[in-house]
Amino acid sequence: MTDVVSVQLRGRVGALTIDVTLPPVTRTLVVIGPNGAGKSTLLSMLLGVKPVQAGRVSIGAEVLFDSTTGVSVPVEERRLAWVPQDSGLIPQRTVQQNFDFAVRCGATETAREQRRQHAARVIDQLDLGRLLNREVTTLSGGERQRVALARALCIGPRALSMDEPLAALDVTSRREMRTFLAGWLEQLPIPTLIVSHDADDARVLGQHLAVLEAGRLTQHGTWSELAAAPASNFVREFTSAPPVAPR
Amino acid sequence: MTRWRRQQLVLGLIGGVLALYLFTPLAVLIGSTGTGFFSGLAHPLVWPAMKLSLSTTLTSLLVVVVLGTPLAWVVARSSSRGARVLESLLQLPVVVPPAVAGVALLLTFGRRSLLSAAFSPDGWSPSFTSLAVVMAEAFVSAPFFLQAAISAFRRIDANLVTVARTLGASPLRVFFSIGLPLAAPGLVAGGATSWARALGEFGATLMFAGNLEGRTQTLPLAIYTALETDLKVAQSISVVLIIAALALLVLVRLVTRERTP
Amino acid sequence: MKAPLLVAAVLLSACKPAPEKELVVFAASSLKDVFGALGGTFKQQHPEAQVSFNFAGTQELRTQLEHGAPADVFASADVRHMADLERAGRVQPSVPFARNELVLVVSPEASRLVKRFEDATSLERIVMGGPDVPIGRYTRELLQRASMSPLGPAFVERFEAHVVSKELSARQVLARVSLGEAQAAFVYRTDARSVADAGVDEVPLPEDLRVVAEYPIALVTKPAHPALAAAWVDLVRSAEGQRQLSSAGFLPVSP
Repeated sequence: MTDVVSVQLRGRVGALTIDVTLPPVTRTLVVIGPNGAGKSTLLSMLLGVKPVQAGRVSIGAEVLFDSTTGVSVPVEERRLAWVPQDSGLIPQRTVQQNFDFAVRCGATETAREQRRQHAARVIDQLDLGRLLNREVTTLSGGERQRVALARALCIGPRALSMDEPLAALDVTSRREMRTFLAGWLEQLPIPTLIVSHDADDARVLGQHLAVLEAGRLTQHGTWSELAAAPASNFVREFTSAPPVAPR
Repeated sequence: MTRWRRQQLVLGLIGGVLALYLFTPLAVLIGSTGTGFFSGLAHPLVWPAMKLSLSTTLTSLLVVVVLGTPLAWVVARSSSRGARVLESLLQLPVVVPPAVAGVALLLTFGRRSLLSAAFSPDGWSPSFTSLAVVMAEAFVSAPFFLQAAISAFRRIDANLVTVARTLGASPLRVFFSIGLPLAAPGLVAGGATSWARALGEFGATLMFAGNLEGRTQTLPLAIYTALETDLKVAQSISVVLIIAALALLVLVRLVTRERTP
Repeated sequence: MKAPLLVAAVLLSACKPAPEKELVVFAASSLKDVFGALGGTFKQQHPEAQVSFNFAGTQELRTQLEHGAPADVFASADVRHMADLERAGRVQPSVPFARNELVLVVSPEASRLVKRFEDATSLERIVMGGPDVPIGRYTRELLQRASMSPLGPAFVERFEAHVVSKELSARQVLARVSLGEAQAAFVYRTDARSVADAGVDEVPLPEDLRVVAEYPIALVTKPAHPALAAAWVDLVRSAEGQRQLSSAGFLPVSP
């Protein structure tokens, strides 16, 4: 039984107004939508990086943001893991040093010790031991994403968010990584939010899909629900694309 | 010769005029100094000026780097309109003539300034002290460091900072663990350029700090003073400054090339 | 098409000798006010001529002349730089045209501290001219005399210990005092007069410390306008020229 992430946000970034209430995120929710629909912006607002005018964000019983009560937990304390498209690893550093950095970011000695244990376990689970002494710039795209995922998880997050996790990969490693991620996320005991513009990724990774168009939620449901009754041209085209890789 | 190469040659020749104009005076200066270099350096004017130039420029560099790095970081990371206005204003001392800087420093920190009156009833002022030299150098050289530091910090991927924050990193940790190491080559290059500018500072120093050997007479002031008595000495000091500038230029090339593919 | 022509025109005009009627006078910075006024008189006598001045420290003008700066007349604040130029064949034989007395001036802030030269030991910020600047040389000459006088070498040593800057022209020395940056300096009487309104006070000196600067004037070896140049020297030495010099505070040439 995982916590439920509930997200309701309104804010303006540049010319785009975002006004979204996401369906409750229990396992994996994939947010899809055309370029410029505000998918990544929504994620930044959720993390607390971009300003939000109104709304409410909570995980389980804990409120991270609530404009009516003035609650706004700072980014550093939300414990929302985030993996950006280009993995966000510190360049010119080894994999080990990247993990060390995440460990050092723990606020207390107990937190740091906990992170050390999380790191050791996740390094083992993802079979990253052999990469520890490599400089991150020498890793392949798939390896980078695994390391980034592992580093994000070693803070013991309450939820995981990924921005286009597969977009930077070439076709072969993309298929491998997709299959791996799908299996891995199934076992992950925390809710996960993934932003993607790719139909195959959405179909394979998301039990539940939410469609974002011009800053608004236009439809949500399972892949087959969306395919059966598309609410917009975008959804129709998105769901009618022939699958490149079978599950 | 093909038409392409012929026209390319014409362009090269036109551009060569400027290159020739830029290099010839320096070559003549170095060439005509020749063996007189060492005897020129033996002049009593030179050594105190050299010591003073070194100590004051290193002090001003330290001040500029220690205060300028956090400022550059904040400006580079902020997306507010105020930060952008501030960034443009910080460039002002680059385009303001040194003589104007001298007058401005004199009016602000001179004997008759309000600031001076506030320090003590008799009026205290840094003018005519080595501190005034450091102030003039810092004033004119800081923008060069800031410019380089801001653009170095700006080249750091914003996602890196966001990821670090989601990992729980405090602003200070982000600054020290992400900002400083990743911007290091740019910071070193900026420091070197700013140091070179401080070494060459003349106008503001002459106006604000005065001209006294051992206390406020830096190498450029010594050149100016020697020019009217012993040209050889002025030449020797000039060659020293050219060598220093060249060394700093090489340093800048080395550190900025290292990390850019 | 027009731009290259324009550039060429600018370059050509820069290479061309100055227009026929332009007289170029190089003069010590302490002559700035009185020569400026004499320029007006000269213009009345020679309406066809235009006078351009280059005022700077004598030593700086000398360096410029040695490197072939285009001048017609050179007026120096001391005889040594002029003699060197004569020996080097840069100028024609010179004639003295004025003298100027050295005085001690103090800034308004320091005037209550120093009423007589003997009080000068209470000063903390004194400026003087550099070693090759005439005002610097005269100051040193005066201090040498002071050390032989009843004031003695200890007094002079204390005075020199408080020199905070060595400026590169008499006018820069004066500016330091009138801006209040420095408390005191030896300057020419004519310069002291020009800032008396700003509250800069003159301190009387003992009679035996009197130092008088002698100003020589000469035509350069090959002036571009010999007649105008000679006319300028004549004007400066004429009764009218001497009258203007004397009302500015210069002393007449010793008989």
